[in-house]
Amino acid sequence: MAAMRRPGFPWPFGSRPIAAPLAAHLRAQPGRDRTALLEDLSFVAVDTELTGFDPRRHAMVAIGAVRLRGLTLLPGETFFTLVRPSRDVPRDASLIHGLTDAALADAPETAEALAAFLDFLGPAIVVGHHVELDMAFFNAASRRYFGGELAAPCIDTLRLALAYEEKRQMGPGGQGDFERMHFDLASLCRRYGLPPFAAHDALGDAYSAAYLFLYLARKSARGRPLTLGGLWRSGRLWWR
Amino acid sequence: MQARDPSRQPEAVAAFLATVPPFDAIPPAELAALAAGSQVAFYLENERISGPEEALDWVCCVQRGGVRLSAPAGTVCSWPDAPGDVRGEGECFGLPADLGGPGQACEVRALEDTFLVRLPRAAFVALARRHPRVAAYFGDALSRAAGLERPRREAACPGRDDGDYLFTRRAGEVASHGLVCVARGTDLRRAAGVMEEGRVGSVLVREASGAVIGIVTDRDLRRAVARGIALSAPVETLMSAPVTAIDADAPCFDALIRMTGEGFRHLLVTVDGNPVGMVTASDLLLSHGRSPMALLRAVGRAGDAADLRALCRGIRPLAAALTARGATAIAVGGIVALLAERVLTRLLAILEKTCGPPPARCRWLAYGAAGRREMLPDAGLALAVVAEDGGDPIIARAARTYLAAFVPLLEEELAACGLRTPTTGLCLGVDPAALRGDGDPLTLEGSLEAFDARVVAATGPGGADGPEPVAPGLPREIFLRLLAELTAHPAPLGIYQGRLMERDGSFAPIFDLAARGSRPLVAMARLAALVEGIGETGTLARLECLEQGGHLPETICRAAREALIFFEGERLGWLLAAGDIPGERHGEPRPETLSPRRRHGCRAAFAAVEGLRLALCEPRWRP
Repeated sequence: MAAMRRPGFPWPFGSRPIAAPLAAHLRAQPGRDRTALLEDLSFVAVDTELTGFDPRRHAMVAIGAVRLRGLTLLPGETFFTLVRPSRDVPRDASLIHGLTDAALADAPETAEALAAFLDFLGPAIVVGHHVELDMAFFNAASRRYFGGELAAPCIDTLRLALAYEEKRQMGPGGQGDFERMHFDLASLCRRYGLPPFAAHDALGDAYSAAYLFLYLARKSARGRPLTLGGLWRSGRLWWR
Repeated sequence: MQARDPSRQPEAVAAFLATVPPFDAIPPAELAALAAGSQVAFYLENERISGPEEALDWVCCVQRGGVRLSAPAGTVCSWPDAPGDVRGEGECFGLPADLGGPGQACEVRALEDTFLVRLPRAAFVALARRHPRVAAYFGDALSRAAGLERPRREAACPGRDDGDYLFTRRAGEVASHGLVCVARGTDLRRAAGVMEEGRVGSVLVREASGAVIGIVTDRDLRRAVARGIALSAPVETLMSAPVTAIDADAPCFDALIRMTGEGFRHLLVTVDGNPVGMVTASDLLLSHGRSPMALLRAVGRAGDAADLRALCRGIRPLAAALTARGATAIAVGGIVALLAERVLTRLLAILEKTCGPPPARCRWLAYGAAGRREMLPDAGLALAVVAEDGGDPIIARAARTYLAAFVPLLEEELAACGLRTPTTGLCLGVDPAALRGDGDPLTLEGSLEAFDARVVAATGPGGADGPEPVAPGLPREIFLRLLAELTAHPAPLGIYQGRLMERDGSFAPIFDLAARGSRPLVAMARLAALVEGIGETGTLARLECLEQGGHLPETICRAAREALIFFEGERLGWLLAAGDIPGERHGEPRPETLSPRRRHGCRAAFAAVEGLRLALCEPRWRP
């Protein structure tokens, strides 16, 4: 049966039908082969600007993403949209990313923006810095509007950085200042000498995350071909 | 920061390319199209990026890090993708052959962790075809077409105090305020009387309402007399109408153009259309305080040493103004040297009034930068004086005594004028015995500066200068030996990571562009000219004579000349940008602040130095 649904109106009965954008996303996302080489996969580095950190109470105000094919960044394939949240943007959030209610007045609503993002994402793997936060918001919005969660696997550059630094610092010849290191995106990019981008701008941060991912993936592989499974393992090492 | 309209989000790579020459001169839309097809790739230290057998499908631009290009033994890569060359941030490699790239691919390896922006080759070539400046930048890095002239920001007209008055001063500032007017119907005699009383060259004719309807100038009165017009005729018969007016805010240059174009000497100056004053050709001439000619004339007329000191303070602003107007450093150096000579001549005349004339004829020689007429504002006037005693011991002793008293006074005055630095002395006589090569090109060069000597003034009894030789000749063998020592060290490759990179891949211990760039050029040109018996003292002139005499290939000489102009231009730019501390050698800029464009120019200029060195290493230049 066709789902009779108004956007933003919660579904009162048990499980809901999956809406078309999410269904297309689920079809596009293939099962992952752990032995696949990174060179043969495609990734999308993503970053969101938010009104707060709680997916139940807060909302997204901007989504930025940039595509990588293998370990090559494609600057010609970027995605950016502002999102009109369903409630006002708190002042302290506006101070961080500079987005106000007036700036977002003409922006598409969350459902429309998320559908466009899922379309851009296609079969790619999501990459982001502290990507759980972005995914929590994507999933919250997707559950609310499309009746299900995203199926794309995620790679967190924060975990990659922690694992990479732990190996470097704790190994022989490390400086051992692991405890005092900052692991926010801007500090890591400065530390590794990556090009600077506008901070707290969704597309700028997505670019930063993409560069950081390129750097860490190649550095962790130390020149050997790296598989998806290897990358996941190296990202999990830190809480073992 | 404000998030922008997503449709106009600047692409990160386009933003990066917009900072990289020659792409910075390309319209943003085309740059965005080029960036859209680009890729960013990351390479680990020492990772192979491409090999000699695979043609690159990309033109690569280094975003972070650096790469080394090397060709396997047996293949020859042409400049600029020379074997062993390095490319730092903001520099490109993998250019097609017709854009100055190598005939075949070199092996490229990452020197450190490197991010490369790869631009599709076909799109790049199409872009270079559309924009000749792109091709020129890679093909001939030192030419003007390559856009090596200072960016607009620096070339913008300088402030009121140091620009060319024609562009920095407004017509309203130089105009004489207050209008001398006569009413309509006034006769010519009365009009002439008004001009005489007001000591002006023109009167305006006004209606009773106050509107200006015409102008009568002294030329018109002359015409009236010549044609026999009665002096009782009203001024309307003679006046020029309407009066040509110029806005008070227009630069003087516009006023001058109007005057020369339309052939008159008086312009009415208006503010919001209301007449407020007149500007005449002589007003423009009198405000001409910044032209080299005006400064030269003022120096020639200076009454005492204090005047000269004040005038010498204008040398540096003058150099800045000339540079801003597009003069090359060599042209500026020539003008500064000419000014220094005039100052010296004037100082000698002023000091002679207090000390009396010398007992023998003294020839004053300028050597070093002043002798070559390549004197940048920080250079001192290196002087030597030769007293011609004619072999008479009594006159010789008298001349020595006189000069022993006179020279300290002169030195003091020169220092007060800012024409003396710790490195420029004033020596009595030129002693070729002091010249010896000890293998260090710098001291060698210093000791050979005497061969740039020119007679710039003569004092005491005797007529005009004879054509006697200035520096005593030395056997050709000695010059050849010195040349062999000078050309023993290769020129650097370029600047990488803020250091001078040598051709063997090591780094030079000190970063001194002058010592590795312009000074070796000057020294090589000097020695080659001395070997061939060329009497010119200017470096450019020497190179030209060497080329025309068939002693050196034309391409080598042309590149060397361009390299010298480039290096000296850089030095002049830093000098003018540095604070005004007379007598102190200004440091060069921090090398890590050099833009990719400058580094590109340095690489090409060092290649020209190396080309000249290799040409002078050939057997015919060996003792």
